[in-house]
Order: sequence, then C-alpha cells, then structure tokens
Amino acid sequence: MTTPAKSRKQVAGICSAVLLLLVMGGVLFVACRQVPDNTLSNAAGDSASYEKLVADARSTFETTPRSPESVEKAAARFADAFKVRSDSYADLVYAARVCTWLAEHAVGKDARKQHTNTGLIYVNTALKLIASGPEATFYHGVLAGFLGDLDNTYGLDAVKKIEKDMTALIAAGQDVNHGGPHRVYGMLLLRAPGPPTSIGSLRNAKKQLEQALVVAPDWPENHLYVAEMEFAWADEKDLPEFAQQARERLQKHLLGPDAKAPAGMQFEFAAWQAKARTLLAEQD
Amino acid sequence: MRMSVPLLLLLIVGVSLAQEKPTQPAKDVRVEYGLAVYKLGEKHATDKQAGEAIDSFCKWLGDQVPGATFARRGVRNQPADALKLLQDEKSTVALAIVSPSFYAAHKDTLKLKAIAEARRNDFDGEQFTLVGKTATDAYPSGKKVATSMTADLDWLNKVVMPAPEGIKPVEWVQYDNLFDAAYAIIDGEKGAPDMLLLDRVTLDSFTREAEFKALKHGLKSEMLPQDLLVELDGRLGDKSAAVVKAVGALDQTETGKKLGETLQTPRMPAPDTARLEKALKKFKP
Repeated sequence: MTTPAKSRKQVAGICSAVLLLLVMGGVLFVACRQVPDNTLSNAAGDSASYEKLVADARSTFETTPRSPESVEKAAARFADAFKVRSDSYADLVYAARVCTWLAEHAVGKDARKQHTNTGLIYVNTALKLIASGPEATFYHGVLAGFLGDLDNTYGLDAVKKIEKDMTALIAAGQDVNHGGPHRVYGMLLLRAPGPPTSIGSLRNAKKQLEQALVVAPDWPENHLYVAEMEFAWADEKDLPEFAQQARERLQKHLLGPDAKAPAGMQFEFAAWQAKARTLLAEQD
Repeated sequence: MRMSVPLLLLLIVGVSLAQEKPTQPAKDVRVEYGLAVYKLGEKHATDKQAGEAIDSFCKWLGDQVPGATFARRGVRNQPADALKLLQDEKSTVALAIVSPSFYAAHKDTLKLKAIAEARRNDFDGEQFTLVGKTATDAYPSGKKVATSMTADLDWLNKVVMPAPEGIKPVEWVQYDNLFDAAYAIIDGEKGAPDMLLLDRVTLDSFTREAEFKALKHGLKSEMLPQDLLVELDGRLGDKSAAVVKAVGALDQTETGKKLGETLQTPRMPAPDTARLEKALKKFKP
C-alpha cells in the first residue's frame, strides 16, 4: 500500500486540472438517491502483469495532448489491472483521476455516467485503504458532483458529499489540483440553490474561489470560475466593475494572445477556453 | 429450471387470458388531466430543473386515481407566466399547485377550488418573521426588507405584513438567496437590506448557521396558508375525491414518502379553510 505522502507527490507531478461541471440547480424537487459507496475487493494477484497494465495506463494518460479516445484506453488498462489486484491507494487515485477526466470529456452522457460510477468505485476502494487520503477524498467529492450533474436524482446527496469532502480538505489545509478544494467548493456554492433547499451562497462562493486563486494564482481554471463568480457578483450587487474585471481576467488568462496552456494541458485548456467564450456570450 | 407453483399458475392464467383476448388490443380509456406548478420566490422552479420530479408526481398520481393519467403542463416561478399557463385553452390544466397569493388573485377568474394544502417540512401553515440586527416588534416603517417574494407585492403588503394606517410602508427588496441577504447585513455591505422576511423553513435553517447568531427575531405575521393544490373549473370531475385522498395519504407508502421529500411536503391534507378565508378577506376586503 502506498503512503499518502508518496501518492500525493505522484499525483501532483502529473496533475491535470479538475474537470468539474456542477449544475446543481437541479437539486430542487429531485428525488434523493445516495451516491454509491461500493468498492473493489482489494484482491492481491500477480504483480508483474498488474505493474505492466498500470504502467501502460499511466503512460497512455500522460501522453499529451489527451483525447477522449486515448484516455478511454488508459481507463481500460486500469480496469484490467484492478481485475488482478486493487490494493494500491496511489493507483486507485490515479485511475479515479482518469475517470474524472472522462466524466467530463467522454463522448455521450451514458459513457460519462459510466466513467463517473467507475471512478467512484475506485475512490471508495482507495478510501477503504486510507480513510482520509486527501486525493481520494478530493476525487470522491468531484465524482459525486459529476454524478449529481449527470443524474439529478443524486443531486441532494452529491451536494452533501462535495461539501463534506471539500470542507474536510480545507480544514486540514490539504491542497489537491491547484486550489481544487476551494475551487470545487466555491463552484458548488456558486451554482447550488440557496438555503433551505441547498447550500448555495454567492458571498461564500466568492470567498472560496478567491482563496483558490491565492493557492494557485496562475492556474487558468481558477480564473475561469472566479470570472463566473464576478459576473454573478456584478449582477447581484449592481456593480458593473466586477463584470469588467471578469472580462479582463478571461482575456488575460484564457483567451488573449498571451494566454497559454499549462504544460501538457492543451486539450483541457481548449475546453476552458470554450467555457470562457460561452460565459462571455451569456453576458451579452 | 425450477418454477414456483403460483408463478406457474400465473403463466397459465396469463396464457389463457391472452387466448381469450379480442383481436384488437383494448384501448386505454384513461383520461389525461393537465397539471401545472407555480412556486413563488423559487427561481429554480422551472421545467428544466423541476420537470422530471413533477413528471414523477404525475405518474404516481395517475397510479392512485383509477381511470386517470396526469401530464405536466409546466412549472413556473413568476405569477404572469403561471397565469398564462393556466389560461391556455389548447393545453388545459385541471390541477395545479399554486401559491396562496396566486389563489387569492385568480380564484374567481380561473374558477379555482383549493382541494389540499402543502405542509412544507411538515409545518402546518406559513408564518413569516422579520429578522435583523435589532429586534423589531413594531412594523418597520420605511425600512428595506429582503424577501424572495417581490413578484407578489400585493400579498406582502396586504396579507403578510400590512402597513398600519398612515405609516410609510416597508421597501421590499428581492433576494433569491436570503442567506446572502443576511450575510450582506452581517458584513455591513453598502446597500444591504435593514432586515429580512423569512418563512418558517428558512428561519429554521437560519438557526443552524453560526454566523447568524447575532441576528434577532422580531415581528411575526399571522399564521397564513401554504401552497395550495387547486382544481380548475371543476375539470377533475369525479376524479377530484380520489386526488384529494391520494395526496392526503402521500406519506403512507415508500414511493409517496420519496415524492414528499421531492415536493418538500410530506403530504397535502385538506386546506385549513378558516385560515384561508381569513387571508382572502385581507387580500380582497
């Protein structure tokens, strides 16, 4: 079993963005299904074949620019590997990250949901190995968010899971994915309905998203979601200077000539740019 | 393959019945009734966000009422949009969940009959409370009060918090999120409201937020009706009684309980007519 410290280093070294799309408005009037907590068996089989499959999976995912097809291959390798054994926290978390990528970028809702559920099994298994492993906790919350987004019947429970996971990481001072806990929690607060239906709050979202920028000021995804918050703030508080600030932010960090993708993140950066353009179009 | 005797009998009976069937399949003689929802002050009450859940409610209701099916006509959060929906003669609505303010405003023109009343979080009736930095037992003349219900100002001013004779009325300020309105007060934000008007469920959740401990509870409204299930123009016909019976016993089955959570009301018993009539008299003296 890998130690949390080692696995954190491994994950951070190849870290891609958190690919989060939380449309939590749908929690209103929705049924309450529980986010699945099923796990793999942690069987320990032939090490040689396992190591080869995992190495192949990692190598495939790390080859950039990524595409849904290439990442599907990485996911398939991990699935094969975990048929042999599933007792490495680091590998399970890495595989969950691959599934998280596909939860956003796989083609078709059914495929995205399937990868979301598979990713949840991996993080649940990882959390069985290390109860409060920060990366597993993080991806657990993110994948719960995707599940709530893809199937509104999980929405209420997904909100609880994201809140629990991200606040635990924030309280422990753990960072994953460039301010990820603040960014994910902030986006949840930004998009969820307000109490008593849910936990949404523009003011609290602002605090969290601004903190994500403090943790990782150069990460474009943080700027994308801070801009979304600033547009909402401008509208809610009737302060147009925040909208102007958001436009300048998007130009500087995502759309302008000086905006550059982080190393190996071309595919993801293009997706953020597309979201930035959509966000701008919504303001017109 | 092992097969239980009852299952075997069922299959035999099934085959027998199938053989006796006429060549033409029997027509589904159930009548479809349109259902609409209007939630005041709920910006997420839209077909996109709530449609699926209302469809589940329609399906459940159809299972409870013999000879009937129910179909969603729409979910709205603005009174003008709801009125348009309920006036549509091409896609008629027979049954609707509406706010008491909507019922009061359109009872006569739309021929609405209240047949059940919501019990949000199992509270019997709705009561609004003013909350602010200082206790406000008196009517807060001229103050800015945050509410999610400015779409129905008449209801606010005539029924919920009527201004005493000769007193300057409050200035209602729309906040979709009343927690954010409270934070604006606590943070001393420029342009923040002076106080908040909170319903019972929101007030209940306020008590669990540590940052709100400094806010004090003041003047309360009278006990008022909650959202109403209404029949339009007698369109349910002889199905009305079955609908009333079904929604009154919503929490008696597991499926109904889940629907109750979805609809945020565990059941919908008969309306408190005395309370409703009293509110109506305030609205239209």
